[in-house]
Amino acid sequence: MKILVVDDEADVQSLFIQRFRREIKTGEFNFSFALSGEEALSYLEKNNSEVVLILSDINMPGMSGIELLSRIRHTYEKPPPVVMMITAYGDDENRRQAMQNGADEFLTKPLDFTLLKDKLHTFLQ
Amino acid sequence: MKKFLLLFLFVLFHLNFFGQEIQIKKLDKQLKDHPQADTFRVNRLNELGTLFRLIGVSNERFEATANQALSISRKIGYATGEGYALVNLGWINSQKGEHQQAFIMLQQATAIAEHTNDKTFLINVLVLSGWAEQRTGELREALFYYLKADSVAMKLDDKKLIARCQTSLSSLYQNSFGDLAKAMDWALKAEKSAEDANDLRSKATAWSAIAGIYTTLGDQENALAYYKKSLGANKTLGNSALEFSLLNRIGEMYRLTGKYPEALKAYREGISKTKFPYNIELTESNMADVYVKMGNLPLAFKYAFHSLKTAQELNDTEGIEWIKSILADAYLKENKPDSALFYAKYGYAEASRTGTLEFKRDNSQAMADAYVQKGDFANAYKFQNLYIAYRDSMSSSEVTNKTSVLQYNYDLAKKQAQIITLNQEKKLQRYFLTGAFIVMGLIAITVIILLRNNRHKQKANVLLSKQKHMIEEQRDQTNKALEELQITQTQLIQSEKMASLGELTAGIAHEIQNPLNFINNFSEVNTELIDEMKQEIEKGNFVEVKTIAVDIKENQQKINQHGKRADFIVKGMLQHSRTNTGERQLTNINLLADEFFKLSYHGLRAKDKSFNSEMTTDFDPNLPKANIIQQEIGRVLLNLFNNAFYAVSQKIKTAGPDYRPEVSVATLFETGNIVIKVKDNGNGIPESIKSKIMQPFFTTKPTGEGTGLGLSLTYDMVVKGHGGSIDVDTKEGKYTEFIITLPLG
Repeated sequence: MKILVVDDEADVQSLFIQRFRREIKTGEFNFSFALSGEEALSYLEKNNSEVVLILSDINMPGMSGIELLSRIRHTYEKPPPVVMMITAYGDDENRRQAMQNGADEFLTKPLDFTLLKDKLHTFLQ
Repeated sequence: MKKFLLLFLFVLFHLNFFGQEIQIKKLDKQLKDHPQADTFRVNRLNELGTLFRLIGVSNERFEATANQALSISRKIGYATGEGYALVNLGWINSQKGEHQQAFIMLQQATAIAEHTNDKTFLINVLVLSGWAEQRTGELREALFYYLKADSVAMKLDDKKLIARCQTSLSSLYQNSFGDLAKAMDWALKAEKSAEDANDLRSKATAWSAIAGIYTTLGDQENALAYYKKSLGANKTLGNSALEFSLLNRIGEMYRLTGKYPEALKAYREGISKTKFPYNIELTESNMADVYVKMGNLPLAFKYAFHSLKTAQELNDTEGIEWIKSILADAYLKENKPDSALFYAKYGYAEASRTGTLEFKRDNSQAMADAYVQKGDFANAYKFQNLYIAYRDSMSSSEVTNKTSVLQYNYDLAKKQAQIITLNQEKKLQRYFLTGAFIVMGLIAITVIILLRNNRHKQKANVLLSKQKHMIEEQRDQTNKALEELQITQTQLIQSEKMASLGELTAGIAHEIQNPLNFINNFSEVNTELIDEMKQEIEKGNFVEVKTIAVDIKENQQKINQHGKRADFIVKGMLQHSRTNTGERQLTNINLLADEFFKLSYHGLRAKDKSFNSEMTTDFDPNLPKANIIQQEIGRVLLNLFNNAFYAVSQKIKTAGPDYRPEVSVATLFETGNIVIKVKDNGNGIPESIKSKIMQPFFTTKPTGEGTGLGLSLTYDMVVKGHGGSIDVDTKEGKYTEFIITLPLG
């Protein structure tokens, strides 16, 4: 299963790889990374069918996570990918905005990977 | 000669004889036309009587006139008329030798004068009374009346009347007392009074009196001078009667000083002015004497015999004595001693009878000379001795006169010296007083000026102190305002800081969560890795253990890195909020710029979720660390980033969907300076406000949103705080770029 992680912080990639070390080893999850919304969209353009789930930060320079979400929802109707928003701002306004734009899940930083894994399993089944 | 002098004095009081004749005729007619017994008739009768009196005519007609005036006045009760009538009658009686009667009448007149309170009349009555007393030889009484008249005149302050009284007193002393010094004293007083009255008639009278006194003193020169003055005055006044007397006196003076031609001229002119036989006799006798002295015996005899005849007709004994002495001299010169002796004897006898010393002397001399001519030396010796005796007697009286006058002159000189001294003292006193007044005046002026100046100064001082007070107040107010302003400024800076801090807060929350995210998760990963490593160790699979250890170390480094990052954020925030200025420290400008770039962006996004912008960084990897006050440069950057993001956010509102907002930051090292460039593609800054953006409180933001201090403080911190510079490159509608240049420090 292909998961695309979008975050402007480069260390996020290292963190995900280590956290999902076993899942990657077993081939359960396959991760791709983008450092901006723009990069995520171009990746999706190339690998549209592969990506099943997208994890995106909201506060990013350039295109924000919300905009990216909005674009994905407008561009890719079939099959619609699962989009989970991960943000440092866990306030209601942010959450409302994310949901309104069609986010499937709203997670806050610091990220609870146990919780994230549960959510991923839930969506994948 | 003495008889003449008395007569002369009476004449002094008389008026113009010829003028009076006309007046007499006029009055006669008025009386004829006005027979009524009233005041008018009385006044006319009295005027007529007074005229007679002044002319010196004492006859039955005058007496009848005065009596008529008296009886009418008494009948109709006219006091003034009665008084004048009594005066005239008194004079007539005195002239007749009826002295007792005269005094009674004059006393009655005095009573009337006092009763009617007519001072002028009273003075006239008193003078006349004095004259009457003088005539009878009652000299003390005469003096009393004259002095009383003088004192009344003084009280009345009538200078003319005073002069008349003084002249009377002078004549009394000269002719009756023989005290020439006092006579001169009074005569000079009379002259002074006459001059004060400015009355020519009074002056002429006084001059005549003075001349008379000089004559008696034998000072013919002075006498002549005064007679001439008097003559001139009387000519002006038209007094021909007095003119004769004066001309005769002038002639006498010339005769006695041996100036015969002048004497004759004066005598001739005198005769032409008179009709009285006595006057003619007197003058002709004098002329005879002159001709004898000149040696012109025919003319001498002619005038002598002619005058002798008149003298005998007039029964003028003194004249006869005088003329006979002249004839005796004339015969002596003709060498006819018998004829000379005849006349001299006769003259001497007459003179001895009348006791006239002058003529006794002249006749005795003539007899002595005649006896010499006849060779009768015994008689010659006898008469020569008599002559010497008479001469000595006369000269002794002259000497006495002169001595008394000298004494008088000495006293006068002394008095005048005293007067001069007193006058000088008075003058000095006057000068002193004048000087004192001037000095006092000057002092007063000075005092006034000083007072005025003082008042002005006081006013000025009051004004100045007021102004000073006002200035002090204004200064205090200004100082207070300055203090308040400084406090306000501090508060404003603080509020600007808090405002930017508020913008930061949201960004900070996000920025803290991100490192925390890594710290938490990497430390959890490491915990798992350590567990895995344990299992591998137990398995003895050391290759795997080594791999895990490398991962753990990497993760550990990441944890450390993000921990520092969080620390940096928190410290920056704390420094930013502090009021005191920070210390300089070596700082990595790239890190600082990057951090605040993010903080600013997230801060803005925290407020406006829809906002987004491209963020480009171009940091010079070889940028050296700069010794700066991190807190201040952090605020400078934050401020510039905030402005940049605000600019693009504003443009988003108006620009179309094609607009891609972009903010970039770049650093570079250039000619020893660190350069930071912050650029946005917003609306740019209009040229009109470009010069104002660094001014405090200037803002384009809506009221309440901006303090207007951001760029102002930025400028202060860069330029004043770090000795750097700040430049703006902008194009309206396109972009704005702030270029900060900082020295390494």
